[in-house]
Amino acid sequence: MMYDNEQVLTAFRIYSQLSRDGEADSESMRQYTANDVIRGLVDQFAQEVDCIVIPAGEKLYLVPEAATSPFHIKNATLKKEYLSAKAKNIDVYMMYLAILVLFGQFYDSYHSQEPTRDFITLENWLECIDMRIQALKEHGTEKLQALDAEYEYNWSQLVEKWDAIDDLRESSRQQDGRTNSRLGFLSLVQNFLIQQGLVHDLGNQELALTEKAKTIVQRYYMDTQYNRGILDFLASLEKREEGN
Amino acid sequence: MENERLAGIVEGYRERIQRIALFDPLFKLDAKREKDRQNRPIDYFGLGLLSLLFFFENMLIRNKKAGAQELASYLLEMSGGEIDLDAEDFEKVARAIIDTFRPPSGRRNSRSFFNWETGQPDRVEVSILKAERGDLASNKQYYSLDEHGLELVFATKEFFREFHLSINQLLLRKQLEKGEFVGALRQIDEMRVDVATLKERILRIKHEVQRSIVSEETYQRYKNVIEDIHLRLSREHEEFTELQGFVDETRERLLYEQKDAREQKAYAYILRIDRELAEVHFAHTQLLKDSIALKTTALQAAQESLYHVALQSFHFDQEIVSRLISTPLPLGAARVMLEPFLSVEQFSAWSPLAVFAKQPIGGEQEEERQEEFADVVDKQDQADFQVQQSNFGSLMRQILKIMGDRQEITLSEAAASMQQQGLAHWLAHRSFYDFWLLLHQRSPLQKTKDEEENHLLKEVLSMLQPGEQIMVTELPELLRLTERYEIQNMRLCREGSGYDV
Repeated sequence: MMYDNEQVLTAFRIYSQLSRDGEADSESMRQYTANDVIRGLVDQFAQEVDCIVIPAGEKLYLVPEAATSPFHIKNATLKKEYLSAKAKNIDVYMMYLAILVLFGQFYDSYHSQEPTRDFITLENWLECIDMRIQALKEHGTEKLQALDAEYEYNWSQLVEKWDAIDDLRESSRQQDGRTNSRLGFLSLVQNFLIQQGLVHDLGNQELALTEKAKTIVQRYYMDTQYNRGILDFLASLEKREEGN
Repeated sequence: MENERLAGIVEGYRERIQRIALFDPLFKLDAKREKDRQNRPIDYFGLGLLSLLFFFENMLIRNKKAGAQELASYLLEMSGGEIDLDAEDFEKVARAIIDTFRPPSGRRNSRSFFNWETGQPDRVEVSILKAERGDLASNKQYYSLDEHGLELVFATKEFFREFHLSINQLLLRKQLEKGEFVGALRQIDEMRVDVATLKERILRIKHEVQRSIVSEETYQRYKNVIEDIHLRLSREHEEFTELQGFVDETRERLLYEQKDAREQKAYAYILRIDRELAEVHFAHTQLLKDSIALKTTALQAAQESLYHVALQSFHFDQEIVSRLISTPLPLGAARVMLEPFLSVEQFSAWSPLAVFAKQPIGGEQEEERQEEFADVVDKQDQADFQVQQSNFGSLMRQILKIMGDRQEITLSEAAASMQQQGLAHWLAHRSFYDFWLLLHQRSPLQKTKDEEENHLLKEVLSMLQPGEQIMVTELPELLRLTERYEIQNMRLCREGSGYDV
């Protein structure tokens, strides 16, 4: 198929806006929806970096697919930009777990597509993570260590790491990112989420989801087209576990 | 004018309490802790409301013979075994309810409260039921709803919030016709709240449309909702335009009638009403535009996405977090699951030409900026600003007077002598504290020739001798001069004063 130069450039402009900000404005949205060629091109561009484009209302969102991809943001970048200087990979994974738990707390019903709560407090969030880690512990150290042998980074390290730090460090007055405490850690994660435009801070240690986050959950995780992939991925891993 | 508005807040305080007190008897019933034969608590609250409806219905069908027995049999029938009591017990329940609505002592239910409008203790009475007439032969009494009982029944009926704005518009018109301008201003404020609520609602619908249109059915539903909203907004818009015209007419009429003080005041009010109404009208027009945009773009976009979206509810906690933990899956899976929330890796390039780009030079410039006085750009603040300027001026004059020939004074001394001189009201005012804080911030303060004309301490500076300096330093203790304010003690020194030279 022959493409018009103008169209390719327009498509690329939209794509570069998407890749810079993760979203594009209503003007891009208009061009994207109105012109099939441009839409096809943008979709293809996104596909090349393992992302999909979701039109939602007046905005376009660029959403990375749930798969390992060299194009997605690297752990090293995350560590450098959002975590403390001493952070190791295990910290990044702890952050992932914390974020998953956070979203789990907002979407924990089969009956509704809307979030089941309006906000979550840091304390609440902390408790939920702790509960999950306690559940992990119940697998027993041996089993976790056996898994350790198999993969590079694993759960027992995460559990150790979590247990080693206190809920809050009483000696320091402010529990921010620099404090080595669980709340301090959560405030790092919170900052990361805020910068990604996924949550906003209501003050009083309360966090709420942004429109962007809600859109991603509803239009990606809940979309049959995509969530089949997620579930298959999890199921394949589960099977492998059972095989062991 | 502002005071009248403040007073307007508590206007009709008693009536409001009265309306709240209507519900008291119901909650009194709710507090009853009786159990039925299966030891389940009896829902007295619900039965109370049922009784009200029963009496209301009897009034509608003009049945005058509604007494305790009739109520008991109605309740028995309604309960349908939900409450395990026999007819006799139900009669007791019915009597208890009637006694609560109409105390057997003959004194009405009442509520004592402090009336913030009049500043005096007050009390309201509520009479829900009244005895219609007695049947002396069989020693029976029949009841009907009293005035408050009827009000309570109506209060529990759905009141369409959709019509709030229209009702307010109607009220506003009436008030303007009657010349109740203070009330009209308040009505406009209420309308502003209505418009803001509407705005939030439209925003919420907009978000919902963007995220959750998944089937033709929901699409139709939202389409109807949005069309309803649009119709309503256009209707209100017309009414607004008419109101605006009416206000204009009134204003013109008053312009020619400005003779005595009262009429001048009325004119001042109508000017303000005109302005505030225009503001609300503008906000409302904005909403109308939003609704049109919503109708076209958002709905269209949603319909567009309808073709390729099939949503299903997804229990994030269960499907992802629990599975991850309970198996447990490799840690890397956590990253994969989270991928959609992250972004794409960015390559940031650096060009050697950046060397020639504009370089921000810190240090000196920043310090310079700090010496400038706070500038006031906003026209609206101008008035406040001038008031503050003269406040500071008179404060400085007072302090200089207290100081006399002394070279220094502390804040606590200044405050003490101001209290002695009967100037204690200054201490209750925020300006006093701002004044000290600002002096401290600006310290050392001195008169310079090329100073800008317009700054807060202009009058203060004009009182200084040329070459004189004011130094304000902090002292350790905290002062609590009034209930409301707390401030660090400070020392104010005059240095290099004119008569030293």
